[in-house]
Amino acid sequence: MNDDELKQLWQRQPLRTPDVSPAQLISAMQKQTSQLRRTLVARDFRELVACAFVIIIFGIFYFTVYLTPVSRVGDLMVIGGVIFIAWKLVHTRRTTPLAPPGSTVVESLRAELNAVRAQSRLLGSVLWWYLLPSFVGVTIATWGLRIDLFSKILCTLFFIAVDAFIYWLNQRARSKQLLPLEAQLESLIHAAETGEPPDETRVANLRPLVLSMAAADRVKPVEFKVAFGQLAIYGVSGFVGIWFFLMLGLTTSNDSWKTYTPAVQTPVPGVPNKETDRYSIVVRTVVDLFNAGDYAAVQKLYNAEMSQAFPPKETSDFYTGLAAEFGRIQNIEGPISDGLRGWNTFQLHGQRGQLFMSLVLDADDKISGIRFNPAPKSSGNFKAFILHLFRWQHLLWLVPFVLGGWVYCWLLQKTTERAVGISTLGIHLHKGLNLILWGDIKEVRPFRLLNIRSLWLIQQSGEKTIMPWTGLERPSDLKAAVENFAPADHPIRKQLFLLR
Amino acid sequence: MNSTPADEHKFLELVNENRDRILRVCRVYAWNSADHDDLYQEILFQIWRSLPALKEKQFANTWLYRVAINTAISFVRKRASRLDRVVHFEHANLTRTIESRQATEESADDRIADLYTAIYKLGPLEKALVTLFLEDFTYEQMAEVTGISANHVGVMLHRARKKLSSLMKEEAPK
Repeated sequence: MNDDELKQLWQRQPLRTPDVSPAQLISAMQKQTSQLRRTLVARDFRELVACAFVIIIFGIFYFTVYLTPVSRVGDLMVIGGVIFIAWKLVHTRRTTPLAPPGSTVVESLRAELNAVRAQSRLLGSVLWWYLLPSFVGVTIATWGLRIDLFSKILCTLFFIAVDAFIYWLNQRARSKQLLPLEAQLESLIHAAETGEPPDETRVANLRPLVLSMAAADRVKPVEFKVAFGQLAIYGVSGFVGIWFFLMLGLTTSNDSWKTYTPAVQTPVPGVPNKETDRYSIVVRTVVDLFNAGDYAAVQKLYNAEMSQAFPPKETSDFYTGLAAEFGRIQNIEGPISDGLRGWNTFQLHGQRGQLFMSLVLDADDKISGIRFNPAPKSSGNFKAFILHLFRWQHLLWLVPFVLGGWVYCWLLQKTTERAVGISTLGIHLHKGLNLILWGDIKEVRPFRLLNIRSLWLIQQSGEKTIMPWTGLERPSDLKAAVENFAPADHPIRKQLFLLR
Repeated sequence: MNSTPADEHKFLELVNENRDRILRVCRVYAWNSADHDDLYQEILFQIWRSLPALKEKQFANTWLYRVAINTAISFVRKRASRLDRVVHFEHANLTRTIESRQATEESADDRIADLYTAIYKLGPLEKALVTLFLEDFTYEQMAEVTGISANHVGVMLHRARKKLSSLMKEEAPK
């Protein structure tokens, strides 16, 4: 066939003309224009809403959870970091617009390459602009909280794990999607600019499958989303989890549930060192005499008024009773109070429990007042803590959180694309990115997580891919699709009984 | 775009005059009827959006192909990002499966079907040049549409046609 014949064949080919009237066409164009406008507005709006959500949450934390200056600095760093993230995303998108439709093919490819490179750079540097500012902020805020060291370490490890996972996801997306696309575009532009043939290995996947129109139509999969109920199990649990940790934060930062001021491990600055030394020496003497059972010698440390009020007999009886209840004193901590009105308190660790000893000394280092209180038992503290954590004011907040979880899952279900597609060729996963042919699936194994069963699709090559199964919507349609499309003896058929 | 009756008239006139050309571009870049319709609508929408940029009607032909080909290449890339792993994934198996299913469904016009099947196997720029060649464009006009220099158009088109011819020989019934 010569060139002219080929051109004639081309230009006279029968074409399937869409049956649309001019009015319908104009109306469709106008509709698509307003849809595009809405999409563009919604895209920026989404980022601003996400940013506002985090600011509101950390704004609430500023006044409720992060009460120390250090925590508040961390909190403000998180808010600043979130504003920076939103700005960076919107700015990058706006500075790399696509070429106008009337541009040449090369101009259009260049504009697209710029946009892809910008996205690729963003993902490549995600650690610096996305993860690190928030991580530093939230870590500072946590370490500034008045919580124990173990909790601080645990929280920090959790933040590191979450950030490492997000980093890994971003780098994976960059290397699997953006870098190959960047290479393809570079190769095409290079070919256009130099006339050299493009690198076949790079542009190969820009070529579609060679399907006839009829065959391609049959490849169209039946699509299934994840069922709302399954999303809700995790989504609502997540929101309840946020509520729980929020209330936990509020409870730990509020001392009202405690029956005693927490132990301060070091002398507070309000008490002069000389004073604390004086008290420590007397307390050590009292404890040594107490442990030795020399109660009469303890009584001799009292000043005149105290000696008169507590003669040797009563003093001896009192300390005998104390020794019977708490045993020998093994350790002394303190002073743990601020020396208010001259009273200094020490925590004593006895063989059978802990107690607080508060005393006042006169100018001659004689004891002018002494008091013993048993330390509150931890179980009592824990009970008070739990009661405070689940008080009705906190439980009331559970309602909006649960409702928020439902709305979130509903929106997620409505807006996400299909999870699984079933066609005559096989199973389409990852929003169509991965097609596993029926013939390549050698084995199917169920995998259970809570009430949800997924399937491991094990291929001839040994590659394993997980596929949602009982968590998908419309189980009867799914069953019908598999029965219609899967080969008769396919192993997936053995898992159909799981779909109810 | 806030359309006026004049804009709407201009748009309809342009689409009516060039419907077949647009449909042929769609058939080159889309590989099933659903994608074909989606791409057709997308090209019309891009024409509608950028119509105010078309100042003089004498350039409408070049301009229209620019819009159509840019839209089609971008469309293919978006779809390919969903399907590219299909191509890489056990390609031989997939082709076998498809061939076994399409064996009984040959197109009515074998020659045009062979031509399309061969064009499908070309790269996106080669497709653009071959399409423009079949539409009877000169090298200069092709250069205007693609932004590739006329010399390079000649070199690339020569290579693409050679490839197309050998692909068509492979496709032709033995």
